[in-house]
Amino acid sequence: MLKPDGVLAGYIIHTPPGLTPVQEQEAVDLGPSAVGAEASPAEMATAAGFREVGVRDVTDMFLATLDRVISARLSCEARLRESEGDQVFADEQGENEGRRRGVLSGLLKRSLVVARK
Amino acid sequence: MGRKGPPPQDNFSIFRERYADPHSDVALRIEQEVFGHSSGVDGFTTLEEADDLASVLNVGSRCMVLDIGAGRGWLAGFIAEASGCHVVSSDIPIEALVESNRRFSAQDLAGRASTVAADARVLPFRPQGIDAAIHSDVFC
Repeated sequence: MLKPDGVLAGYIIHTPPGLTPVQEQEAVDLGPSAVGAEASPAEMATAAGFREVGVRDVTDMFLATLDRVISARLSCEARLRESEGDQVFADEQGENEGRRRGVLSGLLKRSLVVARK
Repeated sequence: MGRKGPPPQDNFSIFRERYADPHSDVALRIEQEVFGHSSGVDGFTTLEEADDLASVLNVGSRCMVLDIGAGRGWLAGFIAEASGCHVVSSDIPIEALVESNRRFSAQDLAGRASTVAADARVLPFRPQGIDAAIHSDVFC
């Protein structure tokens, strides 16, 4: 699909290397369900035939974004509950707070991964 | 690609429902405040991060960029505007692609932006037809 020298680039939420199986499961529970992987994003890109794989850690920005989302949604709680319902509001807040805990405890990271075909 | 953990629980239905649901004014205002744009996003990519992504792609007007799992197409539209390239926004829920097309029309990107209903695991493109592929919080 990609031309020779074509670029694959994107943001990925992932686990850091070296987690125990228990920590890995905790990360899966706190983050998106597909966050657990048997290899790092760079290793997976290389295994898929990409080269010049670069990984830029943007976890700090991810944490700042999560903080802002959680705070902004809390400040508009009544209107959000009215428009999207109590369950959706609670689910959204719970998921974002879980991701925040995952980042703060070192179980979740977010990176910009760039690789060339 | 070697994922472990529980399989996604009917993700298609979840996202289809999500994309069919128009965002409320208050939700859009929060997005604007947090992400720097209000487009009904489902990921965590800010305007600043989108700009960084456009920079690393280094594509121009003769290039074709594929956005995999594009959702409502805001990132594809941003890249097309930032670089002048052509974009294809791909996702599975038709509701997302309808929103993408609406966005591209509003951005006056007709002729440079299109949509394809496709699973990221089986993308319907000819070999060596794409200059760059992007994704954001799709492969997690």
